[in-house]
Amino acid sequence: MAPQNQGTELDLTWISEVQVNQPAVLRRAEQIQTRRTMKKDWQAAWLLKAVTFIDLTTLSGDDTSSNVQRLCYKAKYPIREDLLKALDMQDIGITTAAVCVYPARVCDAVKALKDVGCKIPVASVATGFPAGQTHLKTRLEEIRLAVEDGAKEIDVVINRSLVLTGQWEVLYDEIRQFRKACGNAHLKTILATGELGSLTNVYKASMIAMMAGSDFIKTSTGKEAVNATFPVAIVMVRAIRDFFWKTGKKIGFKPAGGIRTAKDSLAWLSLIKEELGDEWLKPELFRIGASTLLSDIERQDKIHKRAIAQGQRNQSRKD
Amino acid sequence: MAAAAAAAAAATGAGEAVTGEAATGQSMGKSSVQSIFFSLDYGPAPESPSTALAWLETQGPNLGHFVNGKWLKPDGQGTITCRDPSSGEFLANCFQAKNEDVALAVDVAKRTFEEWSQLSGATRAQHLIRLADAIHKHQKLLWTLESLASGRVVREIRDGDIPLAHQLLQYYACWAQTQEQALSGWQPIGVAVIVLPPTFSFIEMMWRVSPALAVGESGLAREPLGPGWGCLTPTTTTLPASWVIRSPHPTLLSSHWVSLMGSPPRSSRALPGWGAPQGARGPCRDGELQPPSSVQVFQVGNASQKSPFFPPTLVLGLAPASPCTQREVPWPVVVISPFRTAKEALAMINGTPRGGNASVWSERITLALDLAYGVRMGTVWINSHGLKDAVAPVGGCKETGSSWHGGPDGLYEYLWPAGLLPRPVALPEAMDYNKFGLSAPPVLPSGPDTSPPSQTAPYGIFLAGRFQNPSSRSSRPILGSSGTVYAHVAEGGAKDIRTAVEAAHQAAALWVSQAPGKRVSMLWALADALSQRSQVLAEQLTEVMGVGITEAQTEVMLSIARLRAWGARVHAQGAGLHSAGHQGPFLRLREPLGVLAIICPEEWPLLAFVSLLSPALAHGNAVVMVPSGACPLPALQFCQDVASLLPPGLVNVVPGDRDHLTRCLALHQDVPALWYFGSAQGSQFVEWASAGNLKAIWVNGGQSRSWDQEPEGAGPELCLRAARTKTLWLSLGDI
Repeated sequence: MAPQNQGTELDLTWISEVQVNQPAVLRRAEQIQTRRTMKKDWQAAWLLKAVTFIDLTTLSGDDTSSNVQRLCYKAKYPIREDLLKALDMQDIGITTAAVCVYPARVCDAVKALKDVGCKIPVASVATGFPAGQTHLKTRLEEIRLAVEDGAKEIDVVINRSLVLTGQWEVLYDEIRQFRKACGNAHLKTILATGELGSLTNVYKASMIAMMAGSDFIKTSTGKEAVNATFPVAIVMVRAIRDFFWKTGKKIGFKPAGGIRTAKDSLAWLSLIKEELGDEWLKPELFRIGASTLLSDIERQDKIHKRAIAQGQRNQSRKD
Repeated sequence: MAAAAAAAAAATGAGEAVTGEAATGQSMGKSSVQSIFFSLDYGPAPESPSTALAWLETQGPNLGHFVNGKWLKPDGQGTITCRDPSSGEFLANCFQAKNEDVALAVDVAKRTFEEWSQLSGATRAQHLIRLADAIHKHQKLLWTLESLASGRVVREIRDGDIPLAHQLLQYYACWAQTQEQALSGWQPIGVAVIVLPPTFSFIEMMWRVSPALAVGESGLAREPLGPGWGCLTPTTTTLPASWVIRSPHPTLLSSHWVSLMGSPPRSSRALPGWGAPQGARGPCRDGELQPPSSVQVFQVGNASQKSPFFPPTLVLGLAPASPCTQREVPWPVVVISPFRTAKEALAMINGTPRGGNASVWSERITLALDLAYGVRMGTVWINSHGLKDAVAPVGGCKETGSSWHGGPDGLYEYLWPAGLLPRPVALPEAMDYNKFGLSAPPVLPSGPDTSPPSQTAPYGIFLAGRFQNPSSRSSRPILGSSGTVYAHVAEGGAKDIRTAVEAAHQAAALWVSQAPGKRVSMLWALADALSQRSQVLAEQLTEVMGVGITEAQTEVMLSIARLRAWGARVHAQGAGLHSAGHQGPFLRLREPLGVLAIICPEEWPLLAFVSLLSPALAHGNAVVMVPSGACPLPALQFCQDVASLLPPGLVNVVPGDRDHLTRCLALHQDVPALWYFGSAQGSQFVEWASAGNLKAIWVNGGQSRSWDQEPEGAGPELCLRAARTKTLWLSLGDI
């Protein structure tokens, strides 16, 4: 894992004059989805890469140890062995980036991953997920307990009311305390962008979260009406870029919620490549929060076809 | 980078297409999926050009002239080879047309025009829609062919040009459908010749062809594929100069430069004022930047890379006076210059000879609108760049030329006031442009004035609000209808014209900022003042022009009516807010031309003068006028009221030798627009002169107009000519 972001002093001048040009963001978002197409081997390779960015997630009221166990197994073996073999990718060790569960399921997940011999981290949501409308004291306690249980990454939600009322100092202090409570665990801050009111607020909240020491900024809980969208993502990655230019620190980005199809995942990768560059295309700096995306990727015809084509090629070489 | 990538994609296109899905030929040491997994490169995503190539195949190696619905392939003609600009591969040959080919095409177009223009608007609309549908159905052929021939990325054409072409045909079909009502005062010009530079693409042709077809024109378009049709030059000079389309110039590049059209990416951030031609993209083979040493140049990618296209380039620190700044900047070169205040930025932008488009970026709406109104450009985008829509007119001013396409303005380019005979299309006469009106013949006193004291007109040149002595210090006799000298008027010359233009420029700036209501009251006050003088004016007209007193009185009454009518129209000049779908709304503004020079016709000395003056003033222009040569007296008489009612310099009247004064005005670099009503030869001279300084002109080609008739003397054509359109895109959305 990348070293932690220790944050910076709060500097409100970084956000005070920011204005987001929404029509331009929308046009860029529209363009980014159609601009690049990946075909053949490229598509297969990109899809497999997308798998390695997934925070395989289950956040349901009916989660039990058994389905968490299944999830962890899937995280270790996300793609069928025979397909990987056919593509000559069996030795790469493709796993998802992490599994993400509720705090009460962290123990189950840690154990299950240990059982299958998988070293990927367990991420836990915390701080009154998904609304964040609980007392600060209990929110902090939630983080500590999840870390005690073995979570290596904590996905915290911010208190949206602080953004909507413009209490940036308070927001900064809260996240700062989250950071402290995390200890050695990584802090991923969920902005719940669907409830922030405007793209300008999304930018400001992103900046505050990074200044306060988040290792990742994350779009949504998956529980809001509007989740990860490309316009919001563009604003957030531009904030990441600005923060990098100001401080030299690379902060990760995690879109979550509503990313269900393999085609979507390719567009997300393409967005990161175009806006932040190849350096960000690694699990330390880019994650996709998803529960059903993986099965769609595995279902992709293209992977199968390429696997078959590659198989034939290998066959003919042997002959 | 995009350009280079696209070129690479296009270059590998052909090979990739044949390889096909099986890809059995590959054999690499490491699995290719594995290497891509680690490098995360974009693979080639070529669009197979097979559709386009198959179509070219059906045409044989030679593309003919498309005349009368058939491909004509005349024998024994020279050809020009069209190549794929990114790979240099042969695509097809185009014939070099000869005079007889053009004559044949013109003939066919003339015949077709008879039928086509007689069709009802609704029928024409159906035809246009059918054409639009054909584009929709065969779009793949179109975009692959266009991409192949221009080297542009398929995406730009597929997602931009093709839908736009469809939209254009549909939009103008709407006009055709309602033509009988919406365009009742207009008729089609006839056969339109559209000459496009070799760099112009399919969509550029569609911008111009669609409206022409809609209003019942039959057209000839020069094929954008290759540099054919060399012999069209004589025809082009008979076109109004507003049609002059200048192709982009070579700028920073040292040697040859063939520009290609390419739309700028929508998210581009050009500085305000960079009227970069909508994406003229220059391929460069051995061109290198040779800027002054103080200039910083940033380029994407390695300049030595073998790409047929110029890389995206950023130039910093170029002084506004540098020749590079003054010239047109091709896409994708962006020049960034710092400015201290918004006022300075405005001065820098308006200081360039270009008037195409600009974008203004500011979150302060007061500042953004102020700048957008202030820049002299055809299109201004606020907080956006490069938006296009069939409904939004695109054009410009200054060196960009004043022709329009898109929106209603694109339509009027092909229309002519109903009832007026179209200008005869004739090859220009041989004339010595260098001698036309070079100097005024000397005038000698030829007898005493015989006008009665009550009819004595004021003496002098009307400059800057008062009558001044002519710089020539001589006078010209005006003969009465009986042949005796009626009066003498001052003889104006080049120096008076210069003073007049200067005075007009000063007055124009103030007049624009006047509230429209103020203009109304001034025009109406002039009408009242004129009616006070009606007796004297009518007498002068009878004495000099030899018309009956009733006719003379009618002329005066009509003149008064004109002033009132144009006063009333000040508030209704066709400006308005339009919607362009999800791209946001835009304003179609009508802005004054600035200083307008008007050479009045010989006939109707008072009525024509007032009919031309009133729309010019109503639209906010300042004028320099040359009155009728035979009878300038009523105009000068009228100036006495102008002196007392209007700010000085707004109206300047210079009597004298018309040819000489026309020459002075037509060649004046600081007169943005000129209307000429006189001889055919004079019109030809004005057209020739305007090709040098690109002023907006309106000439009558030696044809007379019935100034007493409503459509010709006070019709919508005057309205159209007296102001210039500006399209101001407003960016919208923050919720």
